[in-house]
Amino acid sequence: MLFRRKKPRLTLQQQLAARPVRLVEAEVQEREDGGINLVVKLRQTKWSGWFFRMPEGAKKTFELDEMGRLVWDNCNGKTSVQQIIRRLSRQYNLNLREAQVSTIQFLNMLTRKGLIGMTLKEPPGGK
Amino acid sequence: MQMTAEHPNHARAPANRQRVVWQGWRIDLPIRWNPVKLEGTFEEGYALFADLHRARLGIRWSRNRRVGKDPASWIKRTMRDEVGQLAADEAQPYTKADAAFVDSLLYLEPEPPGRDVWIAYSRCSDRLIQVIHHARRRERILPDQLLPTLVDESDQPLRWWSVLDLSCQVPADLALEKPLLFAGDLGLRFKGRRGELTVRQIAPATLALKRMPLENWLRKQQRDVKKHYRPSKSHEAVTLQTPDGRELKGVEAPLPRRRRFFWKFSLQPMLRTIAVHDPTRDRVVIVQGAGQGLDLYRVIESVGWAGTRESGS
Repeated sequence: MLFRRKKPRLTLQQQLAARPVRLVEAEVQEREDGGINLVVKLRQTKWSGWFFRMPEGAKKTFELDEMGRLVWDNCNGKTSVQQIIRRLSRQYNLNLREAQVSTIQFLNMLTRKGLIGMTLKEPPGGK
Repeated sequence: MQMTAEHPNHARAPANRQRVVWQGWRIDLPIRWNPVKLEGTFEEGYALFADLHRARLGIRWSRNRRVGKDPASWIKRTMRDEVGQLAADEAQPYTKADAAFVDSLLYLEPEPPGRDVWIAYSRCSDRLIQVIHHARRRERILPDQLLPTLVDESDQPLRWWSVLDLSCQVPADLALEKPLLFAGDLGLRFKGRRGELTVRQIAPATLALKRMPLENWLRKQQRDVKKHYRPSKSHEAVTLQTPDGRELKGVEAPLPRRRRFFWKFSLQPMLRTIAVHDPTRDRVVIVQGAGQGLDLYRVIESVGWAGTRESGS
């Protein structure tokens, strides 16, 4: 598309070094099975406002299981993706490859939903 | 398809190593190297191993198609195709490999980064095996650590398999039909002239069993083949004891072929499905299949023979 903003292409090294950070103020509700419910307030986007008006205080709930919770808790802007993979792998005795695939997929999903963003370290010597 | 005693060589890998067994060959790799690509059949195929950052090792195997082809000239030509004529001339014979490998040639890249290549002919499976190490700096990982552990054991009556976290032992006449390797849900589907078998492992069991009980995992597995087989409504409890002392508790149920497929002789008349919980390894293991002489209990007991690897952090 002509006016679509180009997404930055990241190398695997950059993806692993990226630090996920939460973008929303979510209300966390503990569940009995060790998971959590994230309750997020919905925001009216610019284009959707032309067609319908969002009800006041509309909320969306995301259900995360135990592993999802571990990843969410580590989305603090300090822990890198690689560290999250290693923590997940150690805690659940998973193979590193399995942990890598599932973590990256889950983080992509959280990013698409607008719950988290990725901070990248500046390369030495600036841009 | 007789299940016999365990092969003496199949002890677990040493510390910080993982034992990978695939299509008849076995190798001990560093714990952080995991397969990212597994293609092909017993006759011909390719496996690529990588760590979190880059590709580390490739293994390629192919069957000698021309009868009477001289392995030595075949190896030389393959080496030339892989690294070029000048580099192939520098390749040296390698002597530390398993006795099954003959005429092996090793080329070590003098100025890394580059590829170290080892090619040999395996007498026991009539295959050419090629190991390519992506070297970043001058190190002797390939000749000193990897190649001495490479073994071709295709002549055994039972074939061992170990990939990622899934390891099992199946009769050699069952060929791998499809690997179903997903994060947290690893499976291998085998098919032979006289039987078929699916081995599946779900991890971690604590989370899987919170999502649904073992009986539902069994039913879900049976539903995958419901076109040809009638899922059973009842199940029996089963308790198994593995050779290394683990106790596996679970359920099993028969899976009869639908009557309208009575004419389809390629389908087994009756399959059995067993789902067990392995609390020691925190895994749910599901085995489904049938075949002449195929003992599903022995298969399920063999799952996890390579151990559950530490993450190697």
